[in-house]
Amino acid sequence: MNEITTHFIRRLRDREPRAWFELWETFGPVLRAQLRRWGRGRIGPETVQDLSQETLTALAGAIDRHDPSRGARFSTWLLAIARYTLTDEIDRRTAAKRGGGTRPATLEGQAHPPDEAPSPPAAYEQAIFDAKVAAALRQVERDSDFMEFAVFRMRVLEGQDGRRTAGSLGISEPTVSRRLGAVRRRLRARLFEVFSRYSFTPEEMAELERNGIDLNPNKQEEAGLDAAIAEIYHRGCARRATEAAEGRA
Amino acid sequence: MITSAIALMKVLVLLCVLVALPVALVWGVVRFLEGTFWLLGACARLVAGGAGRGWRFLIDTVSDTLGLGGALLTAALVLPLAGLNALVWRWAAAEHYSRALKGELEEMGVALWRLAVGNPVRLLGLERLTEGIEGRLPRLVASEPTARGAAEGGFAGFEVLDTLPAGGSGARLFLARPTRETLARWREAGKAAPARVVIKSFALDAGSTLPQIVRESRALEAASRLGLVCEHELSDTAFHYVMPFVPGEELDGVITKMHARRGAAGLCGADLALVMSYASDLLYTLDRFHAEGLWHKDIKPANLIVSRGRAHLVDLGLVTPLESAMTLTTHGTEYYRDPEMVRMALQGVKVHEVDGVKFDLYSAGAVLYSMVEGSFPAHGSLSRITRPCPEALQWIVRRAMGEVKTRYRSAGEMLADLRTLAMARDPQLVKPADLPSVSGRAVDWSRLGGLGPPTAAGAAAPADPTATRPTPRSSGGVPVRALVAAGLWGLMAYGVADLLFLDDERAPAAAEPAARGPRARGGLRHLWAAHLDEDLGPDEREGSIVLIDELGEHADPAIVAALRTELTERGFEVLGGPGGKGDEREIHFVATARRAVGLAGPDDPGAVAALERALAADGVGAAAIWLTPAEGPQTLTYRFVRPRPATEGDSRTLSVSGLVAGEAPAARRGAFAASGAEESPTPRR
Repeated sequence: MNEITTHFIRRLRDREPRAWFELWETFGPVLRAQLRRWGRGRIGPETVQDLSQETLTALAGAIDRHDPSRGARFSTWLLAIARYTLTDEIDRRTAAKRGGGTRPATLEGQAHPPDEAPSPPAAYEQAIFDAKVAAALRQVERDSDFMEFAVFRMRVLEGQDGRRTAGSLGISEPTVSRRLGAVRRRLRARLFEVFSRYSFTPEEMAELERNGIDLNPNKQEEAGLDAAIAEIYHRGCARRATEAAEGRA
Repeated sequence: MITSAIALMKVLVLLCVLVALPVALVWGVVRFLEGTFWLLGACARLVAGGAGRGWRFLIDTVSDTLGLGGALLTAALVLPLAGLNALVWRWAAAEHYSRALKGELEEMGVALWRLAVGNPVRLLGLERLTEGIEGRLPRLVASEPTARGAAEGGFAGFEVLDTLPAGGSGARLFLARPTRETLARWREAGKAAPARVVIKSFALDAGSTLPQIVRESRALEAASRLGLVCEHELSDTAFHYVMPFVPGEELDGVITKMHARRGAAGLCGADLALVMSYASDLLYTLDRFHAEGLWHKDIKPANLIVSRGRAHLVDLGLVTPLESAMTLTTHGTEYYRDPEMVRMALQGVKVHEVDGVKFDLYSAGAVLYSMVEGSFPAHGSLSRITRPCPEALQWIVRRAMGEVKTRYRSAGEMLADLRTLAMARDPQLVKPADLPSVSGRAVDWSRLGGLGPPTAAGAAAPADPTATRPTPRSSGGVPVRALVAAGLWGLMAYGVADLLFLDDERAPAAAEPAARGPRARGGLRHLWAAHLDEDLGPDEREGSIVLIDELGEHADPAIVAALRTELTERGFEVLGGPGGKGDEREIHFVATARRAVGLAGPDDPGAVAALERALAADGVGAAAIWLTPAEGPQTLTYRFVRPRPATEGDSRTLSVSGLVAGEAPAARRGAFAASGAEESPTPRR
């Protein structure tokens, strides 16, 4: 685990609300979608909402027992805790129906999935990856001047050319390029930070490059970075819209 | 030969008889056995049913007797408790025990009824006779609104008409009508006096909690100043406040229908104009909230009611003073609540330490996003806008939902951007750089295709197949067949109205075109005729007039109906107001006019000037008549607005808000008698 991850884990251990909220904002939608899939027909949207919060609370609590030497991925670890939370809820409901109590479950052995546990579905892994990129984008939006991020949004996320962007915003094309460059630099830094924070293994860190995002690109490779970010952004938006609509239905 | 034929026939007949006889015999036996078994079965069922009924009667009688005894016993114990508490002046406790005693007495009554009537009737199989009395009648009595409202106390001065679905705040909502005394009291205090109101009631014994009551009551004084609350009352155990009732449909539903009609093409033309008009209404209201130091905190489409083409912000459940010293909470609705607010609430900051205005503006941006996209912003500020819409509108949404430090600073600033876009002839031509908040200067209308409502060629764009260029109609252009049909219908309606002895002003809208002759010219019509004679030239006999009717519940609908009739009789095409056609063209013109005036009143010279320009820019018609409520249901403010051509000077001096102060004649008021008879044909000025 790198220093950024360690720092974040320390914040979680210190029960810092902002750290918890970061987790909630970044991974809450992915967890809700996953819990909804697992609990289809058994739990309603309110319970899904509660369980996703409980999952992240459990994660914050289980962080004390995290053992990096076991080599579990962050995403797998998160999924295991979500599965545990859901199972516990269903056990509790079943016990309540029988009229008896239920043994308080512990997270021992759940924080790290057993070796024989099935690997997480590819769609879940992709959703976690997209969520990390979206978290970096949100952070960049916070860091940037509104006009700077507007340039980035129009040029990269909406795919407009430089001339049209300049015309729309009433600025020159060199200004568009300069502002775009500034946002790109910030985005690379934030991507590195977010992926470092939420990656427990080197293999998770390498996901960026596997998805066409080079954190140290040259001029020629910047177009590739833009295209990769745009693709991930559009994919994430479409998924969010579908999941949110399912959640409300 | 004949003999042999007869013999053959005899043989055939004999054969038939020999075959038919056993068949008939078997059929008869089978039917007999079937009947016997059915009879036996029926007897068995009767016996079993009777036994079952007898057993049930026995069980019910024993159970009811025990219930009666139990209720008697409990009542005997509760009665002294109520009496003793009353003796030592513990009124709350005495009231509590009295209520319990009442419950026990009701139990006893029910048990007695079942023992004396219900159970014997069920034993005889006649339970359908008593079903209504035992089931439906108690439910009916329990749901009687007036009784319930009165039982909960504190609604003196109101007649409860109905109950409304409760929201998430734990309150109960009643639709009510203020009594004459209440209306008179409000008028004396200079308050609005709506014909119908909503009473939001909290009571500790009805399940409300003290924090809910405190939360709801803390911003009421300011809300009263805004005219959002007519009155409120707080006691030890209950609290209620009274708001004007806004009939209409939630914005959610309106938008869903709009998008269902438009499909993937997105909003354009009249629909786009309406969306911008609703957003302007919201921002205008928010501006007033913020000016009064209030933070609404729960802006979402479900809290916006669309009525007569205007969006009204309702639900004061989370309204908080901006300077409150309380700790910030995460209350609000997901997707319409700024995540930054949640983050700050988790840090435990106080309300006065954050800028609540900006959180309201985030929600306003999310509502605008919902209207444009037909869906909620699932990805927060990063949500994509996939439906076609003007670039500048996208910018406004982004700016409202952007990072707190770069967001609009006030609702007024956002409204100025939106109004610039709405006033452009072709919103598609407006670039973000043209918006006042970006350019920091007045709008150059010549670059935006001129000032005025969107045209079919502009806003409608290629994707709007339904938008049409307005074609002013006149009576001369109406086909003969239509005139004959209208005449026949008119005569029939006149006859019906006459038969029913309807006063012409009180007759329903369908009878209005028939209101002719001396009777029709009297009363309200006469008054309107006097006004119109002054405002219209002798040669003005045709064209379109837009009715901006903002009277709502505040005035008798017959007043507007009489105006419509008078205008129609004079040969004008009336657009808007009750009884309108509601077609695309009418919506377009009314939305244009409403957009120009915003939520301002006719006393606002800027709004009047904007309306004059809107009328002139697109040749909407001869004029607009703007009706707004005044002191009471029989009084209204009437303003006749003529088009004024936009000049170079106008476009140069147009301010950021898109409004230029022009010469505005004083508002005219007409007084109307309650009976509809004429009171003063000469308008008071």
